[in-house]
Amino acid sequence: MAAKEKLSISFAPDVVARVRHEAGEGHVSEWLEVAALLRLQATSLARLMESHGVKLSQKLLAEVEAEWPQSD
Amino acid sequence: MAAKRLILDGGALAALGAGDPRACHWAYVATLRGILLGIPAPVLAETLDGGAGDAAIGAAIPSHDAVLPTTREIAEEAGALRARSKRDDATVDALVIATALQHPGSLVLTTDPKELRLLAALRPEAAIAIAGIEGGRKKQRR
Repeated sequence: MAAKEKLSISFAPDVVARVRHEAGEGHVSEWLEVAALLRLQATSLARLMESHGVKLSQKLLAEVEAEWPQSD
Repeated sequence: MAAKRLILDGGALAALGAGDPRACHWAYVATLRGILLGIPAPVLAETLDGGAGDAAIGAAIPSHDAVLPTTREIAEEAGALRARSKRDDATVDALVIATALQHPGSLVLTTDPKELRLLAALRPEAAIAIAGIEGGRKKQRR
């Protein structure tokens, strides 16, 4: 399924860097925990979308990205 | 203070559990951005009813960590927000905003953006972002 493939991709380096920064650079176990939770979230979401037959929509993705706060 | 989250209100949680495409895409983009979902515990109380629909709601919660506890500090903030809003029926919405205040930079996803924006406007310095989606199981107002 496309959604699962997409959601299983590695997170971009800037995302990894931000997660590390927010958890605290010295707190390796904390950012590893966040990374694990993100993986879990990705898997859970892929399963949810698959069960409801929701396909990734470039139109919806573009709409969400456009509405996402600029500060991110 | 904790890391930013995509915080769901009752309507957004119900929409995600029902497989609403817009809710799914918001959660998808959050995930790709490395942002965890956050569901204030009172939102669960508002959304679950002990019926058959609870399983769908549960499927939208990726981990125990996604459920954000209500501390005394959050409860006090929510009480103040509710009182200032003069909306006695906005307790859970006020708890959503008060929880977001504990996670700076968070985005609140809701099916009731008008109400949530009114509450968020009471703490303008926090600049809480609110995003609205339509649909989902109608949340009960308490």
